[in-house]
Amino acid sequence: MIAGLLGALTGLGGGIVVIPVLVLIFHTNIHYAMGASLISVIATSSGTAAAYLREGYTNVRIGMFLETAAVVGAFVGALLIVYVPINFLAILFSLVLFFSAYLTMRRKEEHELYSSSHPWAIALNLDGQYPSANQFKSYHVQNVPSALTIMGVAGLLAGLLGIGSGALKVLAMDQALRLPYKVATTTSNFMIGITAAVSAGIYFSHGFINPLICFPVMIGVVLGSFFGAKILTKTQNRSLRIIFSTAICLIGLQMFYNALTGHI
Amino acid sequence: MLANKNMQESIGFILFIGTFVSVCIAMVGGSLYLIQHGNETLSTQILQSDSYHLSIFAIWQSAKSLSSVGMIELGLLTLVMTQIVRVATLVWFYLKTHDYVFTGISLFILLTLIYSLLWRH
Repeated sequence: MIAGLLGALTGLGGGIVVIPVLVLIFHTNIHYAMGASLISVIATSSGTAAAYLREGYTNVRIGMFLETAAVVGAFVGALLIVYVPINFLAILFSLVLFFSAYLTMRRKEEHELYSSSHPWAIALNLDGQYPSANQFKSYHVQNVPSALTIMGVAGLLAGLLGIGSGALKVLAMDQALRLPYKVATTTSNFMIGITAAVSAGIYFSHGFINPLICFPVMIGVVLGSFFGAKILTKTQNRSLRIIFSTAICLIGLQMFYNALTGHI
Repeated sequence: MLANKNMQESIGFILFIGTFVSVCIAMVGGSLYLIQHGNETLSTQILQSDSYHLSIFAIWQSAKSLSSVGMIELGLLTLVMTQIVRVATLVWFYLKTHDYVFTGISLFILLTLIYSLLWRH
C-alpha cells in the first residue's frame, strides 16, 4: 500500500489527487481520505511556503487579513461534515475537480497596472512590492471585500472536503485583488497551512485523522515534493495541461458516478 | 522594511523546522510500526471504519509510551502545532511594531486555531 501511494503521489501533491486515489483505488472511507489529504496539504504547503517567504514574494499582510475569513469558513465547514451525507461530499468534490480542470486550462493574462488602491487596502496598508529583475516593483490592491468573500467560500470548501482550496485562493487574489500572479500563488500557499490546520483540529476530534493512513500519504507527498518536482504545475506545455485536465475530469466523473450509485 | 524581512525569514525558518521535525517523528513512528506489523496487510475494516476519536492529550499519552501509532500521531500534531507557532510569532511581531490592527487580526486567527484544536463533540 505504501509503495503504491508513493508511486502514485510522486510529483502530485494536494487533495485533488490524494482523495480520489484513496477512495477509488484503496476504497478508503472518504472521511479518512479527507483527513489524510488535509495532513498532506499542511505538510506540502508549509514546506514550500518556507522557501517562498525567503524569496520575498509572499504578502504576509494580505495573507493574514484574508485568512480571517478563511479560518471562519474552515471552522464552519469542518463542523458541518458530520451533518452532510457522504455522497453529497463526493459530488461536491467532483464539482471541485471539474472547476480545477477548468482553471488549469484557462490561460492566465497579465493585468494592466493600477495607479490607486481600494480604500480598505489603503487603510490596512496592504500594498506591497515584489522582486523583479534586480529591483522591487510596487503593486496596488483592488477589490478587497469580494476577495474576502471568496476566501470565506474557499475556507468552507477546504473544511468540508479536506483540501487546500489553493486554486480558489489564487483566484481571489488574482481576479479580485489583481495581485501579480506570483504574489497571488505564494500568498495562497502561505495561507493554506493555517486554513487546513483549523480544519485539522476538528477532524482530529471527529476521528477522521487515522495515523495509519496519514503516515504513508504524508511521507509520499513530502518525498514527492522534494524529488518528483512539480513538473505538472510548473509546466507551460499546453498539451500536458490538456492531458492533466482530462484526467482530473475523468476522476471527477468516476467520483460522481460512484456517489450516485452509492459506492462511496 | 528590514524588520519585515527578518519576520518573513523567521516565519520561513519556523515552517521549515516544524515540517522537518514532524515528518521525522512520523517517519520514526511509521518505521517502528512497519517493523512490528510489517507483514500484516491493513484490513479493509480499518480503511472503512470511522471511529478514530482522538484528543491531543490522548496523543501525548500514547507517544510518551513510545507506541508506534502514538509517534505518528505526535508527528501529525507537531505539523498542526507549527501553524500555531507561526501565527503566534506574527502576533508578537505586530505587537512589537505597534501595529495593533494586525495584532488583533493575528490574535483572532491564533485563537480560532487553538479553539479548533481543543474542540470536542
